[in-house]
Amino acid sequence: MAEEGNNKIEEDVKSDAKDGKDTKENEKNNKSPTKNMTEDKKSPPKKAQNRSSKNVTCTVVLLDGESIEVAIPKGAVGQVLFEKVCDHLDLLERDYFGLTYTDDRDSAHIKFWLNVEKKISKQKKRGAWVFEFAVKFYPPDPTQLQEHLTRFLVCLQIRRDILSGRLPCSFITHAMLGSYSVQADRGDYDPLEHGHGYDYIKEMPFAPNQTPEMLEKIAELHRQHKGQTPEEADVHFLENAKKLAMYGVDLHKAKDSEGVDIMLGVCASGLLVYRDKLRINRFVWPKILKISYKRNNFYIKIRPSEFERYESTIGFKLENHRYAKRLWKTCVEHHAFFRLREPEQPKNNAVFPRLGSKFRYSGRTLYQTKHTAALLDRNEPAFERVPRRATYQDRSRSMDDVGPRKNRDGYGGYADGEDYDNKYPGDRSPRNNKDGRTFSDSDNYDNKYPDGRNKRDTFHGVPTPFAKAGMTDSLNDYNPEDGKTRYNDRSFDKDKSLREGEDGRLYKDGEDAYAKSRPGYSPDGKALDSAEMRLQEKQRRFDDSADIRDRAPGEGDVTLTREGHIPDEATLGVQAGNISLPPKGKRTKEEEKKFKEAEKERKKKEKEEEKRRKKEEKDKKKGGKGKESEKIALAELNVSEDIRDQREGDSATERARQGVDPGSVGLERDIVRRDRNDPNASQPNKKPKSDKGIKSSIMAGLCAGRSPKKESRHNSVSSHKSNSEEDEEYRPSSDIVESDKDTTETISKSVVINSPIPITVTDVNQIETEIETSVDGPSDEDVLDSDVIMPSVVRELQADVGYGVGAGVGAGAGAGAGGLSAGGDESFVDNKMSFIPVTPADTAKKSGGSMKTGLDLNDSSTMPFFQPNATSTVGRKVPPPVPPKGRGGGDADDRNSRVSTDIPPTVATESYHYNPDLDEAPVSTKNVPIVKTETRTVTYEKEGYPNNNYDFDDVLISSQAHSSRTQTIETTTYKTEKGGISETRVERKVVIQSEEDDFDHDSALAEAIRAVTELDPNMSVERIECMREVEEVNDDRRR
Amino acid sequence: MAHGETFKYNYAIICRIPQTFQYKALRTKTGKPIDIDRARKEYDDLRDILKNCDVNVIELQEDENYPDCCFIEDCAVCIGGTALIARPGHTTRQGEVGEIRKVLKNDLKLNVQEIKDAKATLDGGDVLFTGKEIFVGIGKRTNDLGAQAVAEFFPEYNVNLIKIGKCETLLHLKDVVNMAGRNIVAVGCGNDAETKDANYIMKEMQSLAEYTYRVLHLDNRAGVDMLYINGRLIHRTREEMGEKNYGVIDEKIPYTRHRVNLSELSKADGSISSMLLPIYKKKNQMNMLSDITEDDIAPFCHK
Repeated sequence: MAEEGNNKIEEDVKSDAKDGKDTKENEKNNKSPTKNMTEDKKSPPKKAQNRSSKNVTCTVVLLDGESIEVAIPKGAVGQVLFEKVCDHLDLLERDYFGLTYTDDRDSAHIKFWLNVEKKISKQKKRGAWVFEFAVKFYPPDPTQLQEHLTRFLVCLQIRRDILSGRLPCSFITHAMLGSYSVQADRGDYDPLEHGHGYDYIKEMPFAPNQTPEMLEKIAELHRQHKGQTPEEADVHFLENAKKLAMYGVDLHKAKDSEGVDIMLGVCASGLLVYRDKLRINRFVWPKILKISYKRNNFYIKIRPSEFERYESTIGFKLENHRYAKRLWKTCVEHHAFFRLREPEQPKNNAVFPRLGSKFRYSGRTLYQTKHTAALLDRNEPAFERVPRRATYQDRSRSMDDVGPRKNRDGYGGYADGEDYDNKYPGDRSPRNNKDGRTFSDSDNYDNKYPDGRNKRDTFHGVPTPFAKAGMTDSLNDYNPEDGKTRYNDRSFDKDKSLREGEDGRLYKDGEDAYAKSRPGYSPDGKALDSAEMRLQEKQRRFDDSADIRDRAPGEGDVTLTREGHIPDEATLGVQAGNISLPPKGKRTKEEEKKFKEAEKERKKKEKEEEKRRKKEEKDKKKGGKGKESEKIALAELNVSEDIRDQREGDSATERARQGVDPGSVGLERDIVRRDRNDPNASQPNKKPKSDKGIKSSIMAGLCAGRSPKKESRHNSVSSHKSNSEEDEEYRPSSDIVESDKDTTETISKSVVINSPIPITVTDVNQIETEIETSVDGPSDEDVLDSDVIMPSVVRELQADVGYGVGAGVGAGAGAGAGGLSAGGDESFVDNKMSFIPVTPADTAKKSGGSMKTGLDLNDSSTMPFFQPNATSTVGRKVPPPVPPKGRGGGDADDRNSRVSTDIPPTVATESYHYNPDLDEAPVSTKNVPIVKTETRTVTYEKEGYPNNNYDFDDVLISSQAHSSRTQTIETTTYKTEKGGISETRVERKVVIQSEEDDFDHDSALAEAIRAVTELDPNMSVERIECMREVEEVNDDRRR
Repeated sequence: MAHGETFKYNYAIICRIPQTFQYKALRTKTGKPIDIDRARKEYDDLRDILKNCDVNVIELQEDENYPDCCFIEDCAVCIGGTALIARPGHTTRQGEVGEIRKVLKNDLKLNVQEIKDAKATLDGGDVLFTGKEIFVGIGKRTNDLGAQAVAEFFPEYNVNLIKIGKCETLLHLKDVVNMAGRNIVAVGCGNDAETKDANYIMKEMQSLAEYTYRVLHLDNRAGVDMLYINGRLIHRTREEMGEKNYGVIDEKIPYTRHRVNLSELSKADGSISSMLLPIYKKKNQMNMLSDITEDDIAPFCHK
């Protein structure tokens, strides 16, 4: 059957559907489509024809080889399907799993992970909706999973990986693992039942090339396992499998810069480079500063090692652009999952409509999922260990693997070694792909073993205990900002310490390191505050867990949140109704409960906030008064316009999304919310009395620009542009984040292809602080054992520590290096890019013990920003904060800033900087000829722009950036010490950008300014920069 | 438990020193002539020590056709129950493996694997198994294909490549690094050139190593010549390695130690580990042979 290819698959799907599922759920789901499908009653479940129907039937192949059908609304996001599948499995620890699909456009039938955030229809564009359920993040220690069921599923995945050759083993290991599988599946060896030979396992597949000897050995070992329960056997299995070198390594075929074939392996610890199975290089996450891809190239930027001065970027070539993107995504997700405490983006999107980030990991991280799991208290569900045969299909989780290969005749298929000759079969082999019958196999299977399936279904037919939908709602109500911000702060904090801990552990004294770092991390002796924070955290966590317990444990707030945000909420909700089986009554109750809880929490938080605010205010007055007067109000507007259309599918999608988002409105909301949040977030940290000054500087997530930096910033902007231009394919504003760094390196030589129109509002806030900056050189050395060979990570850390400390820079490690002028940009970059956590510096700080409050705060607050951006941005090398298009830019300028922004004719990709201080009169011309491919920048600065006031001995304390689709906010904190008085200046830079024609830059700008100033009166507009990139002279859209 | 099984051996194959060793043994550095009697004495000493190390010693008859046949380590790589028959990088030694193969296959009944590629060369002395992963030195005696074979036949382990071709001062990777115990890597420097090579190797190892090890720094090659077996450490004598190194070992190594003088054999680049092929054979291997523990995985497991 399988041989017949895709057509056949469809057939199968159909017939399968007809056969019908016994589950109530399915019935229900199937019904509705049928009803709706007035025109096409004959083949209701078939996905293709339900233009008119609301539901689509998806086929999902499970790990045991079974496939189920799930009806979901046509416009549903991946999460809906994923949750349903997990419900079907009764799986709670779901964060390790995902769904894959093959892209039919792709001849190689490579598997892609279904993005749960995006609509399925946007991802699986052609072909039947067939997905495979698979382990996405291999738990480093699967034996520590909470439930038997989860471990069982991981075992199934590993068995598949072994069969597909993705997880290579020697004979002995095959035999050993195989024997545990037998024990798990068949129980104790029983001569009566099993006979004396190995015939009883003859049909079981164990290895790609299994021999009679191997079976014999397996049978022999099986006899030794007497007494082990299936669960124990699973644990033994995992105990060994987790040590395999290729366990959890997702391989991608690539070429290095010299064209040599290599394999890139993404795993929990980082990125591995293999050549002919030999590991020739290894980049752990802390060592990677940035990950990006451009066209079919994939780049990683490496943190300089101890003795090196500069980062280096290493490029790899993949077969095509899509694979490069796929690899990049895999990296982003693995990094987030294994390395972060929390996903980079706040879960509650309400606060922050996610305008720009194109992609990031949104689920729970390993850390979170473990915590969540620890709180599970349900009786472990009994689950059916499917007849062993079901698992025979060799489906490897490898994204590269096409899927089941032959296996009709037992495992004979493997023996032919077809898949096997790949050194790392994980990589797609065209051969395999060709037959593309991934799904038909399973269908087949279903047909063949209806019994098994039925049994299972029945079991699962029982309504799952969780009702997610209800939860979601309550979540939305939950005070998102508060929660979120704090959460983030917290997370950052934790994250850091965690990382520290990690590092420490490397030195074998994790606890110690952790402890040490902790204090340092929290602002100067603000023990109280931090304690409070922690408390809140705990509470929060508790709440979370409570939620989880109440409903579907596996399911995060994420789901809820998402629903709330997504434009098609209504639809979703409706659909959800259809979908969710859980008893409604219960749900609502829970919901209510939840809601109440949330409300309570929120109130509490609000109160706290208020308190803090007041305090802050006071502090401000005390400390920052003098300086306030100095505030400058200058605005610079930079509008760059580009008229290029992007053909890239992705960008198109993005745009579409953008269209949906109410432009300015969204922004507004965004800002306002942010404002609110930030104070909260930072406050706890800032509270420390000593840092009063700093406190006052907290702003709503706007960035203050620092005057001296103007130039550089300016530059960076333009370079951003150029960057973006370079990257034709991914224009998404999210790129912004990343661009900064590139700026330095990637100079704007490239031709402008895209046209971003960024508006930059810079605020400078000066505050006097009486705080003493006490940066103690972190004594990591204590921790270090010079006699230890540490995996490079550790060493890096050391190096970094030294670096950051010496510079006295609090911000990211990288930032420290940047120095003054570059500092801002660098740090900006760092944060953004810092997709790769800059663990080292942080660590250093923490352990140092006495960090500046301000710093820490900033850092922590950075996190949230950092998160959203990081993920999304990282991918693109080029995308700068200056997204294209902005027709309204010019007007906006005029209106908002008294300075009229006009676009002076410029030469290609050159920025002109108009600085009143320099006696350069701004040229204001309304209609200027537009030259092909050019970037213009007009900058207006407030008079008295304190250029000179800023000494270059300012120390960059922290810098953080956050960006959404149309906005990038960068906050930089500098500190100067003069005669014992240290002055802290906070700059906020807001870049508004949009490629949309109808984007209202005016209002966006106004909003941004308002948001900043409203929030903190001390902030003033210092300059507005208007930048526009134009490609064609004749384009009407200009201006 | 798997953990305890690394560096645990129940067999050790050794091979007597042929008469031809005296004049025909391969030597990277020329020096005083070899005193065959003293060499044999050293061999006997080592054999006696091994007998006290809870291993069954299998002593092979010398083969006069292969003057270097006593350096049996180079003939195979045995980890767990798998034995990969090597392809010694020096042509005069390639015939040595025949005898070894027979023993491994027929007597010990290991899972014996052969390198298929005729162009591959592999000396066992270039393969360092740390208990958690494998390092293969590519240089004078082992080439890329040989290293690939190691990766192919020991797929359970990370096989990391270290290029030692430029290191003039060493013949085999294990001349510079050895396991002094579980998770302890001993590295030996010496004169400037040796130090440079050692530093280079250490750097490479650090960047590639997946796991964490402690490093025992010793300042000459004799000091680093050691073998950790069944919880004991066999190393060279105080006279050979010098007072300082001896003191270091005294201080850091708490477990049972055996001293052996190999000064005569070392003239032909012999070392303790090169003299034997330690084997761990278990009828039913229930666990993967690995030192990887929870702590090794822990950095990425947020507990």
